[in-house]
Amino acid sequence: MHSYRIHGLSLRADFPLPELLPAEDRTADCECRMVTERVPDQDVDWFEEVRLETGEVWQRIGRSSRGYIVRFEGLAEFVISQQGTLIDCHRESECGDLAFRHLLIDRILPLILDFHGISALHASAAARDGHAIAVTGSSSSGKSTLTASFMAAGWSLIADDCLAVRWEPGAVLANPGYPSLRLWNESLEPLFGTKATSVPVAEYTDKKRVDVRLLGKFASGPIPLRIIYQLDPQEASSISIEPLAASDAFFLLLNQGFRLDPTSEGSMRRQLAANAAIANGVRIRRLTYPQRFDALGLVRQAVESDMLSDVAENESCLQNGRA
Amino acid sequence: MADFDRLSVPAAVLSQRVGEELVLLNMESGMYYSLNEVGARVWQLLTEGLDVNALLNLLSDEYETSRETLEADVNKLLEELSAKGLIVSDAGESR
Repeated sequence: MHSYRIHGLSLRADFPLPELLPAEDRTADCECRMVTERVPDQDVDWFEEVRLETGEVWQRIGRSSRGYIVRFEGLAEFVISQQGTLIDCHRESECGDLAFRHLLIDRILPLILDFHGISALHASAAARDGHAIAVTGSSSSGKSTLTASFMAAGWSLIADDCLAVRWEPGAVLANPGYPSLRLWNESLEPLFGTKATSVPVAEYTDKKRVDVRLLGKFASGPIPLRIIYQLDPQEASSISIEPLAASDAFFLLLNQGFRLDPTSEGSMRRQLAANAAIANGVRIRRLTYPQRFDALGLVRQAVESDMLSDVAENESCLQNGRA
Repeated sequence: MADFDRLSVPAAVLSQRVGEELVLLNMESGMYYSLNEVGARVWQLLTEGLDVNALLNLLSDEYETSRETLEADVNKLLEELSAKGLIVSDAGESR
């Protein structure tokens, strides 16, 4: 058995996942087992499917007596138990090693966090001086590139693409994912020069995965989350940071959440509570900036300044509260 | 203002305060709604069990507006909440 830590959970698998950080936990929040058989179609009530631009079905999600089934057509199938504590993994013969691990780590694990009381946001995050910020937005909005630019400037990476958020009274915490960034080739060299070594994320894509431990720092534990920036994909000539009203922030978070079964009553209850807690506990802003590599340094400075203002404001409130 | 008497919130409707506003979730439809600060106050009073007349009396003291305007605004809000299944009349008639 192999033990790992990811998104604040301990994970055990009967096959290696070299992208993840090893752990020595005696117990596991979730266990992954390789199985040889797929669940027969007649045993599955499919309720969602995702199609490629070509019209082909890429992913299907359904329910069965064994739990939720997530199938990536022709590649792999995962059966997630009702409590999110067991994942049976079936790999088709055509599925490469990289693709299989990418599907499990980046597509399936985010879906089980909800079962464990963790909110999974479609966001990337980094930290500096004990304060975390996250960036969210639609696919290809530049989340990973912006976060990578922060890391290249000395920030610690917390997560790329899936941010695990826990909350407790008075604190919203960003939990480390795993030390990897997924970037297109055109972002790699401008950010990291020639020192970045990368491997494909999966055999079917040109997107690259870089191990951030070779390039910079990775967060070692949960860090208080200060601000979430929603990246505005509109082309802009200057940098602007605008606050979002709390209810707009709530609906943004709702749209950016990973959800396995949006119709499940338990999931709806947890999402409502989680998104309200995050919207109330974290500042949420809209960030617009010129979509150019040479602007990323200025964007980082603007975010750093915004974060420091928020920290100072918060400390001032605390002091006034004590007085 | 006799159209709505005593109202209640179905078990499938959940709420959470977000900033000054209130987010409502109807789990039967999976739809979310938000109420502004005044709507959130009306909701709070409803969930405390006040009937509509008592609610209007209280709001008349809290907001500087005429009773007619208040009645019309509250009635409109209740119509909307009822139409979306977020409140029901305890007599079993929801509008």
